[in-house]
Formats: sequence, structure tokens, C-alpha cells
Amino acid sequence: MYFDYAATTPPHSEVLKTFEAVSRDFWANPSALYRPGLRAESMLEQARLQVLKLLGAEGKYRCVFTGGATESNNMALFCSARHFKKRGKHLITGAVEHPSVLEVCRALEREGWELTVLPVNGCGVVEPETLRQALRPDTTVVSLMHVNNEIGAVNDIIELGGIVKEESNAVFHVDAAQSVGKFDLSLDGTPVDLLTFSAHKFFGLKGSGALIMKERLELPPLLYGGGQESGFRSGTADVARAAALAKALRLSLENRAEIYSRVELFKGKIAAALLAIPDVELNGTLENSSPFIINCSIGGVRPETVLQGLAEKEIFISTVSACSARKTAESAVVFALTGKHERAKTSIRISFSSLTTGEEVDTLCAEFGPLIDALRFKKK
Amino acid sequence: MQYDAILIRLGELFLKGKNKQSFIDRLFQTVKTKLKNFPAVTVEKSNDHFMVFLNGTDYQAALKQLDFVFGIHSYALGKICETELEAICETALPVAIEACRSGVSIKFETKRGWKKFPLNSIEISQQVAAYVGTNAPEGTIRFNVARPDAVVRVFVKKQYSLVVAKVIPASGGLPIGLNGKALLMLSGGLDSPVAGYLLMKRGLEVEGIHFESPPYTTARARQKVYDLAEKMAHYLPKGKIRIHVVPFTNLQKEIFSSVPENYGMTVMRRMMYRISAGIAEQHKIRLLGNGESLGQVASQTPASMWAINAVTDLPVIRPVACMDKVEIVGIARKIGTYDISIRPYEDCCTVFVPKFPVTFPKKEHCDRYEKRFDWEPLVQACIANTEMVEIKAGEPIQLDSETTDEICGLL
Repeated sequence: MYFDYAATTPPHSEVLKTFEAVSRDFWANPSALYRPGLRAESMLEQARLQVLKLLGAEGKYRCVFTGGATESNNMALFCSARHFKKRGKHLITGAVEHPSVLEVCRALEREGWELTVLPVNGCGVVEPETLRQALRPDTTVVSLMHVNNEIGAVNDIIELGGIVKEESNAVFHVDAAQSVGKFDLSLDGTPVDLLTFSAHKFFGLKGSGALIMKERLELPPLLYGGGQESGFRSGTADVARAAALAKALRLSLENRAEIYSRVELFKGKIAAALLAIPDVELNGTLENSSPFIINCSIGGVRPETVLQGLAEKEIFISTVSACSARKTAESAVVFALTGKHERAKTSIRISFSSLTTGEEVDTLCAEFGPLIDALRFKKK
Repeated sequence: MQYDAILIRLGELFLKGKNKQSFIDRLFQTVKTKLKNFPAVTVEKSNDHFMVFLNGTDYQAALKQLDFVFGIHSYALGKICETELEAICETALPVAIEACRSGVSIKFETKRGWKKFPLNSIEISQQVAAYVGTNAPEGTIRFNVARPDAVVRVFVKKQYSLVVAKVIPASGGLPIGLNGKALLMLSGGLDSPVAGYLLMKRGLEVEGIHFESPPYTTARARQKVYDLAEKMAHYLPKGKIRIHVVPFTNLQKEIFSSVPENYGMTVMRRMMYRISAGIAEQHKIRLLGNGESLGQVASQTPASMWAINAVTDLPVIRPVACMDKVEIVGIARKIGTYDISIRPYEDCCTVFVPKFPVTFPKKEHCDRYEKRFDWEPLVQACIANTEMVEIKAGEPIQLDSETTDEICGLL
């Protein structure tokens, strides 16, 4: 029983079929001038168009295929910061951003940029007023995530982006790795300049993502070379991965609304079961958060032991996000919103997807109480 | 805010005299055709404006279609109500609040088309303003009768009344179809589709002519032209455009082997003009158009244009001649041709580029060099073997349709 879909998802069998067929029948270099090359190029461009259409971005944005959200975030931040450095060298991001945003900002800080890391409120979201206060005439890049990967808090990117556009000339970047394929996103008419996502979060393949960028934004590339992807990202295009990404996105958006409300019920159920256990606190709120992620702190119990205890029963959940699971024992995200080390040290994350079933949720709810009781008993 | 109706204000038709009505009729037809995919929408024709009743249709989707119609000056978005003072007041309230957002000041103006309405237009405006002033939440309305930022208009008609505030500029231009046709030389570059757009904007029905030189140019170059044509087709009233594809290889090879290298390009373009004139004659088209811009490349100097233009007596309009590249790029982006135009394939103008093309050619030299080979039969062969393709808006032609089907299946 897998409850760690926020870390990654298994590729959909149809996606694998597309990947295999495209790898086999469209393997030519899409930049080549002979017919197989032309065919590969058509596939690549069609995949690109499909992604843009599905995100309501056709005609206003371009889609650059990348090696995943981390690369997209690196590209978005490094390239826009460097491109606009003559206009100013001030960056803004949030305290609960993914490391692939925060660490890039810190790297830029070491290169001489000034960085403001915005605090989040108790729900884990950036308050519009906090952002407004932080914006300056020399702010050139603002990067805020849509859905937080650890606690599922949802930033109102339309309102926040609106403030960015009202108060500054800054580029507005959104890391949407946890919302693309799950939320109803339509970029046309929004203040979003750059949007990042990864395919493996919605049943696509690892090593595959995209950066959606406003058409008028002519950023320099991060990877220089043969000028593929209209010069934005060199390297022979991976047509099969691009096709698989487009397919995965289409499939995941097909029953999106229905899945969303189903998962919402699961989250409510699990939240109730967790809160029935003494000394368990939710990190983040149930309202205004992603139904796909729930995060809580279990007082007096080390999260690894909960994880191991459930794993023995073939139930897989996660402690802090997988990307940092092996590094520290404390969740920076949970600390940012609670301000308590104890809470940050004892947090676990449970995440769902369209594959999650009602029985799985019931089993998890049933196992939780006794397990934690047992663990607490052992400690005495 | 959801609107009930779009009031379409017509463009420069006041310039027209006795044929004004036929322009209006044509424009009305085009508007109806463009909106035919919205079953709920109805359109009504009036003296100086059209009314589009949305009946629940998303106004932005409708405007997107209407942006393809030339001859419209602006859109006013409004709400409809019964022709009763109370209903008008209630409808005006949210419209006025919406209009006053971000600190804009307003005033009311009324046009009373139905003269039997008990109040006159000034009285209606006063009553509506009084109602809005007393019923709007504190601070949401700012009146300024002397110098308003925006005017909220009330149209009182017999069957219904309309309150509009938001006015959006439309595409402008003249309705297509009554000014005749133009034959546009369509290379595949950035400039020619923009030139085509501007010709259509002045009411001309555009057909395209494209020169290809297989095997020096590939199927990709033709695909590019098809895709550009598809974008342009949206602006034509019937939503389709004709493209004449000229097989240019034999003539082009003959030119570059017979004529000194530096004159090759000049003579080549003279041949293109001759062929275009021939095709135009076949289709009774009396005007050539192209994307030449002054000073961009060697063929775009006055001397070059003079030497090249001398082969035809058809008028040649170069709508982008005096535009800067950034202006051209701006339009190309707006009409969606930019990304297609920058695809990097050879076209027939780039395959045999001389190293040092002459920038101040002499007409006499051209005539003399052309005597070195028997070009007339070759030109006639080009005209005779030209292929005509019709491309419909929204239905791009894929040269490799097998692949297209395969791709659709996999995605």
C-alpha cells in the first residue's frame, strides 16, 4: 500500500506504451532533415502543443522540455536573475520552497544577489501583504510554489502574482510540481511568467519535465549547445519522453475533477483518524490545501519508527520530503510554519493519488492508532 | 463579470458613400459566420452597429473569433434588461461598480432609441445615477460628470435596454470581400504573412503564391507555408485561403548558370514577378503584395525594386516596407505566425544566395543578361505546372498525414 505519491508515481501503462512506441518508431534526431527526422520533429512539436493546450497556455506561452522540475527551476531562476541583473539584483522566494528553488536562490545570493525569504503563516502560505512589503524597485525575480510538497499548502498564485505585477517589474515564477495534473490550471490571462513541473508526479516518467514560459520572455539558456528547443535548452531532444509527458498529462487531466473530490474525502477521513490519536497535530490546514497531501506531527514518537512500523505491514508513507529524507532529521517546512523544533522533528507525510482506494485508506486509518500506541508504550 | 451582449461598433464605413450598405451587409455575414460555432449566440443588425446576444456563451471566446473580422472598430460589453426604469437601474448598478474598480470615475449617458419611453435621455441618466449613488456600497462608485475616466452608456430600445461600460478596441480595418483580391508572395519568412495580414485588414481577399525548388527546398518548407496560410485563413470571411505553389527549380537553375552571380538574385526576383503576374492574370487578380521591407536585404533598395518591378505593370503593395523589424515581429506574434516563420528551413530565396548581390542593379543589365537564355518557355512552364492548394482555418494540412495519425494515436 503506497501512500507516497507526492514523492513519485508509477508510470501509467499507456504512458509506457507511448514511450516504447515513440522510442522505437520515432528515434531519429528531430533536427535532421530527412523524413524520419521530420517525423520525430512532428511528434515533438505535437507533444509540445498538447501540453500547452492542456495548460490553457496555447499561443501565449512556450513549452521547453527539460530533464525535470529541478532543471526547470534552475533554468527559470538562474536565467531570469542573470538576464535582468542590470535592472536589479533582488530576489524573493518563500521559506517553504522546494530545495531546487531555495538552493538556487542561495547560490545566486553567494554570487552577489540579495535574497528575501518570505515567511509563511500558520497554514503554510505566503500572505499577500508580506509579499507586497518585500517587493522593491530592484526586485527582478519572485519565485513561489503553487502547492507545497510536504504539507500541501496552496498559495493563491493568481493573487500573489497580481501583486508582483502591480508593485514591480519582476518575473513571477511558480513551481507547480505538486499541482500540474491534479489541479485545474489555465495559464492564459494569469500573471504567471514561468511555470515548472515534472512528469513523474502524474504517472509520467522520471527525468522528464517542462518549463512553461511567457512567449515574450526571451531568457538566455542554462545549457548552451546546438540550439535545440528554440535555443532555450540545447541537447538532442528526447522525443519519447516529451511524448510520454504529453500523454501522461492528458490522461491525468481526463478525470481530474472526479479524482480531486474522491481524494478530498480520503484526506478528510485520514485527518479524522489521525486527530483522534492523542498528541497528534496537523501541519497546515484542511481548508485551502491540496487534498493529495496530509502532514502531521506525532508527539513523542520518532517519525522513522512510524514509517518502519507501517512498512512492516507493507504500508509506505514518508517522513520529510523524499528529496531531503536522507539529510536531516528535521523538516524545514514544518519548522517554518510552526516555529517548533519538536513538531518539525516528528512530522510524517501521507500522500494520495487516483490509484488510492477506499480500502487502502480504511486499512491505514485502522493501523495508525494501535501502532502509535505501541510505539509510545515501548518508549516508557 | 458575465456579460449578456456585445455591441459591435463598425469601423471606417462612414468613409463610404452609396455602397455603404453593401459593406455593412458583407460584414454582418462575416460576423455571423465567425460566430456560427456558438449555437446560443444570435446577432442583430442595426444602422450603425451590430448586437451580439451571448445567451450564456463566454464573451471571451466570442471576442477571440470576432478578432478575426476586419471592419469592426470596437466592442462594448454590456448587460441586457427590460425597458423599465427600475430594471435599468438595477442592471446599471453592478456594471457601474465594475467600471469604477481601480479608482476610475464615471458618468452615465443615455441614448433613447425608443422615443415613447416616458423619460428623456437626460432624465434617465439622472435617475440611474441617483439609484446607483444611493445603492452602491460606500466607496465603490466615483462620479465625475465633467471629466469622467469612463462613460457608462444606457441604450433604451423598444424590446430591451442595454447598459455597457467596458469598451475594447477591435481589429479595425475594412470588411474583406468588396475591394477585390491581392496575390501575396509568400516565402515562409517573417514579413510576408504580416504583409498578408495588413492587406486583408484593408479589405482585400488574399491568395498566396509560393515558389519552391525541390530538392533544394524540402517538404518542411512547404509545410511551413501551409501552416502560415492556415493562420491567415482565419481572417478571410469564408475561412479558407488559396495558395499557388510554383515549381521553380528548373528556371532557378537556368538563371544561376546563365547570369553573373551578382545579378542572379535580381533576375530571379524578376522571374518571380513575371510568374506572379501570370498567375494573377489567370485568376483576375489585379494587385501583387509582398513582404519586402526597405533596406533589409539587397533586393530591398529602391534601385533593386525599380529594376525588379519593371517586369510587371501590376501595382505592387509592400505593406511592411516602412516598418521596423520589431513592429513586424509584434504583428507576427499577434497573428500567430512568428513561431512558424522562425522554423529554420531553406526556402527558394536562400538556396542560391550570391556572395555579393548587387544592391544598385541596372535595368539594362538585367535585360541583357536575360537574353543569354530562353526564359520565356520556362516561365510559362512554371505557370502551367503551378499547383493550387486550398487551406481552411482550423484544419491545417499535414503533408505526412500518415505520421500525423500515428502521432495522434500515441499522444
